Amino acid sequence: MKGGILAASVLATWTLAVPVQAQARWLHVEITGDHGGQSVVQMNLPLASLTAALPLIPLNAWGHCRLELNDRTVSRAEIAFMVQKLRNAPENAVLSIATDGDRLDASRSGDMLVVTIREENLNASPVQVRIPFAVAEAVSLGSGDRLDLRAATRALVMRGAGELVVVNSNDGRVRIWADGIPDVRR
Amino acid sequence: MSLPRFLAILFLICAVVFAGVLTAGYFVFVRPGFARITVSENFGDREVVHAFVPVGLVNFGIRALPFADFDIDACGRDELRTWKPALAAAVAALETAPDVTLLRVHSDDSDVVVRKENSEIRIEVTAPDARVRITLPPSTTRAFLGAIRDL
Repeated sequence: MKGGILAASVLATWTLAVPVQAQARWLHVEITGDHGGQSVVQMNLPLASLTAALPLIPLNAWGHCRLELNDRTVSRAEIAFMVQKLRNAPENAVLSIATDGDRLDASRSGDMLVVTIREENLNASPVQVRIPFAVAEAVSLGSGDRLDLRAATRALVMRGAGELVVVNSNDGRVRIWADGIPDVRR
Repeated sequence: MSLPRFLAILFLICAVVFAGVLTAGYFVFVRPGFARITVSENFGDREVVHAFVPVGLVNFGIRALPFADFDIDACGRDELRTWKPALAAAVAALETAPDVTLLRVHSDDSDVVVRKENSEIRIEVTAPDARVRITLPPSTTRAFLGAIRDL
């Protein structure tokens, strides 16, 4: 779950760029956790507020951002590789990347990239992330290990309303989406 | 100068100073509005604390906080400086946004709700034995952002 939260924090940063559109004026973040009891965090943010802030964040502020899932950092090169191999692949095709102690499985579900990370030795619960292909591709355009969050921003501009990020694990779930409804509970 | 004339002039000066202090106090402490703080027991059956605090006083207190002396390492300080303009812009844009529940946190032992309502920020914390409600005008948030500018 820790990895999931970290991933959510990175991916939530991506979502800062969604434009103010008729269909998508609100960004919603929902985090549910199950640590002996159910806990829920819900955030509803006007995109106008976020888009006002975005241009004022200097480029070097994005430099520390990285994608970490289940204590494993998913590199920019790995994201680029997954996008390249899976963008036009059939839905049931699975791309596996094994490293010391964990395994990363990636597949395509519609226009979403689905990444699952399992710790092989510890038999821990897997963590799964779903993000739009366009965003994954854009974020992989950086150089070195640096994720290109500006490009991801532009991709999200094109995306508009809909599901942006989902992180699932056995003990929690993070969901980020945009729509025209201010409060998800109304 | 005769004593009555001296006293009259002294009275006039005191009256002008007093009026000036009152006017300044009104514009600084009263005109910005009041922050409301309510603490209730047993879910509102009995109010333990119900206070109206001048927002100007709250903002003054925030600005007086010794942020520069806080134990924040150089990296954290730089990080705050980097994000401050963006935070300020986000808060400014938030002021014109429609009313909404910005944050809702539910756990086994407490609930926290942060709402934007009628240009105010309302924070409500509900625990099994008490409920705390705080209402803040947006200027308080701006004061907090202003206070960290010297970090």
